[in-house]
Amino acid sequence: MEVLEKYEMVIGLEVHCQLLTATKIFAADSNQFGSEPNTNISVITLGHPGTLPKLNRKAVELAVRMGLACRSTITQYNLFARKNYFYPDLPKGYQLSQDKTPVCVGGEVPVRFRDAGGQTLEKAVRLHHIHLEEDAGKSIHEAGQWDTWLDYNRAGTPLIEMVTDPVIRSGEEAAAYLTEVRRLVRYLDICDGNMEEGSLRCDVNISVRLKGEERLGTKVEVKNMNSIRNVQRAIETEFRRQIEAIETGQPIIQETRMFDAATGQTAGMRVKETMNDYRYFPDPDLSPVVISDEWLAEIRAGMPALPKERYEKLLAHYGLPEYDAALISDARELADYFEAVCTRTANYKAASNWIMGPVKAQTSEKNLREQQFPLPADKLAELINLVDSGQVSFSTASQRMFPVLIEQPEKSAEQVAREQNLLQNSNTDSLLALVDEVLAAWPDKVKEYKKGKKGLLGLFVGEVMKKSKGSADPKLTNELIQKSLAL
Amino acid sequence: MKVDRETLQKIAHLARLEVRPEEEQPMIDSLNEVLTWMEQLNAVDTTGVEPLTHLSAERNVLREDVVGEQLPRGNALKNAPAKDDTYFQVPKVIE
Repeated sequence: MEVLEKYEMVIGLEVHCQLLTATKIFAADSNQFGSEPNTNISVITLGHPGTLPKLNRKAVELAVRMGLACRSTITQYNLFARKNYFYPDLPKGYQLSQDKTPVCVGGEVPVRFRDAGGQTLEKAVRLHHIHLEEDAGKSIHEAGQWDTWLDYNRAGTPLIEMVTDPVIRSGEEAAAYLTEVRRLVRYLDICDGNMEEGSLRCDVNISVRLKGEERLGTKVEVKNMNSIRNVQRAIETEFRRQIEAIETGQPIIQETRMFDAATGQTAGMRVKETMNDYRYFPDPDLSPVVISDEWLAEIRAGMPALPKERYEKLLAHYGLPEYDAALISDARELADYFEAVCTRTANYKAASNWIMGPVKAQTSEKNLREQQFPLPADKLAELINLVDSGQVSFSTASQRMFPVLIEQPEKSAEQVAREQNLLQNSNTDSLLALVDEVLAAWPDKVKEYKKGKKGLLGLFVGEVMKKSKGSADPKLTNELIQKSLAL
Repeated sequence: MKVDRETLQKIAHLARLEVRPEEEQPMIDSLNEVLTWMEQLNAVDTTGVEPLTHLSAERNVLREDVVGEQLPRGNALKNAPAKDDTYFQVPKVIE
């Protein structure tokens, strides 16, 4: 391990986010993931001669949102550029991208993470820029097939590419950055952040150097990670591989390597990489885009609240403890749900407890993204209100009513409580009758109790609860029994 | 800038063009002629002049985010040299 400690890693990340627009960036074909292959295409997407691209206003707005959230400088005079290369997933022979005028310049993403030594660090990861571009189609390589199949549904999907400065120094920091970017895009409603489906993708540029060295080492690009965890693994693997090469006197080649999640290793791509020469030039088919002060103000006004604002609102407006506020503001969907529940109940802390407990336990990551909560907000509020008014206990509500309401969403909470005979009996007269019955049935025990065996109280309470079929208010029952026995 | 044989072959490759040996010299000469002619522009002082990228004065030619006309798959595949009912096909791209 001594050898590893002589070195440090220098990492820059490139993150691609597919924007949540209804249509492609330069054409009106649908931008729907998961459609039948080659059905969301048009003559523009396929690059037919004589067709002209036309920019989607919303794509620009979503990119600007991200820039504003990261406190970037928004470029007011934008050009699109052609990035030229031949590959079958790129029908036109060039990718429309931005070169000299990325829509957002600079900015930062705040991260908080624990380093390998367990120390919590806070940092702001500096961004180089964010630019707009179009995605390519999808190649399908079937084993045993002589050819490659192409599906152009994805071609022309709007992307932002976020490029950091080479300021990241560990796998943990990279993971924290990605987690925060994913949270931001979801909060801003600009990308669903799904790495497995590829709507959020991350390429890692990594080099190593001796600590204290100013010069950068040869950089290697690593691709093909479909989770944040795998990005971190790829970084750790690549760090060791590069150090081993240096220590054994082998050259590090500037190349693109693919990460293999099964082995945890990276391997060089076998394609001969002639020096990339993309010959960028301004695209003549797309007119310049001017983001005026007015337009910028409009985008700013339409921005959803950021995680930090939501967190602070949970503290200040709803009076939640920091722990609750952090947990609930972790996902925008959860914060939205909390606020929806709170429009129907004034017991905010109870809403928070319910959400952090039973609700969260029954909500998968996928459910959360799709805002599929086990109970609609109004039903949860009904439950909370039933508990608050003393009609059912929390444990009855959470253990007996919650599962039933999930199964029978058409019923109201009160209806379920009635049908299951769960409404707490807080009617003193009828409860007293039960207490008398129980005490009459156990004369010996009553004597023992009066002699000082106070532990028998539990037995009496239990018997009353049994007789009431669980509907008795335990607290009230307790009081009534004690009073009766004191006579 | 002078175009030599190597430069010619490099840009030919980038454009996926094949230049036969007997075509090389005439093409090198022709490219050099064009470049020399364009070099006259260097005589103009462009200090403080923004590069001109577009001749039209149009700005913000934008589209609203609404789904429009799409191409039926059958039609889209019609011109493809190789295809099946669903996909465009190209010689295997090895990675």
